[in-house]
Amino acid sequence: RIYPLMRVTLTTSDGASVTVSRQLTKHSGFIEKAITDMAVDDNAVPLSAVAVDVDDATLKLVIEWLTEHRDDALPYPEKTDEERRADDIPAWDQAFVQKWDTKEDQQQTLYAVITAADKLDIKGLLDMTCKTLANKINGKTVEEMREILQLECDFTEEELAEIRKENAWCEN
Amino acid sequence: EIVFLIATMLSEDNESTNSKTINDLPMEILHKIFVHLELRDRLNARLCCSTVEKAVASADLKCVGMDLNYDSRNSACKILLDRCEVFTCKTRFTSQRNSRLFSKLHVQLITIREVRLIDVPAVNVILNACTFDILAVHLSPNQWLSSRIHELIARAEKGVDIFTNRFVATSSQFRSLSRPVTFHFDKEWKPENDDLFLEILLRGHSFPRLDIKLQSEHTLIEAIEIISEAVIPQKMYISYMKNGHLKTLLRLTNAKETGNSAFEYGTEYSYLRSLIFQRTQGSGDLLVTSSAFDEHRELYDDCCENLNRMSLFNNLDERSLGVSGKSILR
Repeated sequence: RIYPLMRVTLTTSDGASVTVSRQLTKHSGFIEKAITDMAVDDNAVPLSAVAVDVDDATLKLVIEWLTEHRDDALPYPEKTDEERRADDIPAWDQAFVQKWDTKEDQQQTLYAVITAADKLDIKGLLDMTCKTLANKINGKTVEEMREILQLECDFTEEELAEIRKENAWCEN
Repeated sequence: EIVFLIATMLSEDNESTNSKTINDLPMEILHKIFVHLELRDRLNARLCCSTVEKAVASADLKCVGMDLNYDSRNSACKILLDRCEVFTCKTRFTSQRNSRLFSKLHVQLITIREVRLIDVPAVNVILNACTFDILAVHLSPNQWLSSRIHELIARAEKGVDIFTNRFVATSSQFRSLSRPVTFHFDKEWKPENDDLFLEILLRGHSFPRLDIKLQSEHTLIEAIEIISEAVIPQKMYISYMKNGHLKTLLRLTNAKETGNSAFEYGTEYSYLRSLIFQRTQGSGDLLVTSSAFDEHRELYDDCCENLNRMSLFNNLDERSLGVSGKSILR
């Protein structure tokens, strides 16, 4: 049972700390496991502290997302094999991610949130951000993909030729 | 206030390990990203850089559909995989050469429109390389299932649909099917005998729609019993039955009216009333529903000469049937 009044102080990798409701942290498998492992009595201990390997700026974004999704059902539904679609991102989540588009380091922000969602084991956030990145490169040419993902081609001409040959299997 | 401190779980150097580029993301996360890409996008992605190429090679490829057909223009077989033409006479899929396109290939629906193409070796290679949920096979007139198709039927993880416009299967051929199959057959079927029809039902096969002419009204009773005992919800929709036989059927099945005006006899068009027998999920009841077809008077003229004629629907949405009343068969 989750006691919503219990609060958790999260200490970030760059030394900041933020206290949030257990109602939010229940969506993080990492934080829940940390609290469970310590066998904390929620009634007796109203405040717990957990160190997380996420920087302060990223954690603030994670908490913003958790606040919006605090009432989401748990456990997060397991995806079946056929659920490949990426066009079902909720409107609030889309707006949440689009806000970063104005930032110079928008792609780094997205990578940082993806990594944080993975480390904190927040399945809904990880799923949404992975779909967002997939949507960014969907339907794009190789050059466009490299530009969006900020990648340098490290293949030799021979290697590229070999991959193109393999791709010819379905490029008729 | 009591504060309970939990041991730190930071990495040893206590530095943030945030990713700067996609290359810094763990391979499991790259798989979660690339699983959302269509085949053509994956092919482009693998040309971006070596890290992405490795991620694509080790990520599963999940496709919605694979369509196997004969390309008469090129006199060759053609495989469409999620709208990409992946196999023609010009290019060949080989598990050795194409081993880096995906880790595992899973297709939701494989549609085989030309059964003869199954025997083409290169087609077999790609079919052997994938797993799939549903297999749909289109049979030509007078064609039945080859041993290779039987193998594919056994491998389908969720279900099998067979489309045919002429039923030629015998009792032993139905027995050879290793699992229940959904038959799509849009013409009237006159089985050699009623037992064959009952055996098909007993084996759990289903028909989205089957117009069938049976020899005995007792076959209907047995069919209703089979459906009432089925594990999965099934529905049988009987129409075009002469008024007298409808009454006989109700008497034989001890159907009792529990709803409003479910069964109204003696009216001018009562012979056009239809019955829906439906096994409902969770309860042991067989639902009998009456539906008026008075507006289709012209159908009656065509059908009233038949002793028993019925359409069989399985797993249909009840709303599509124009339900007007209910009764429980006891």
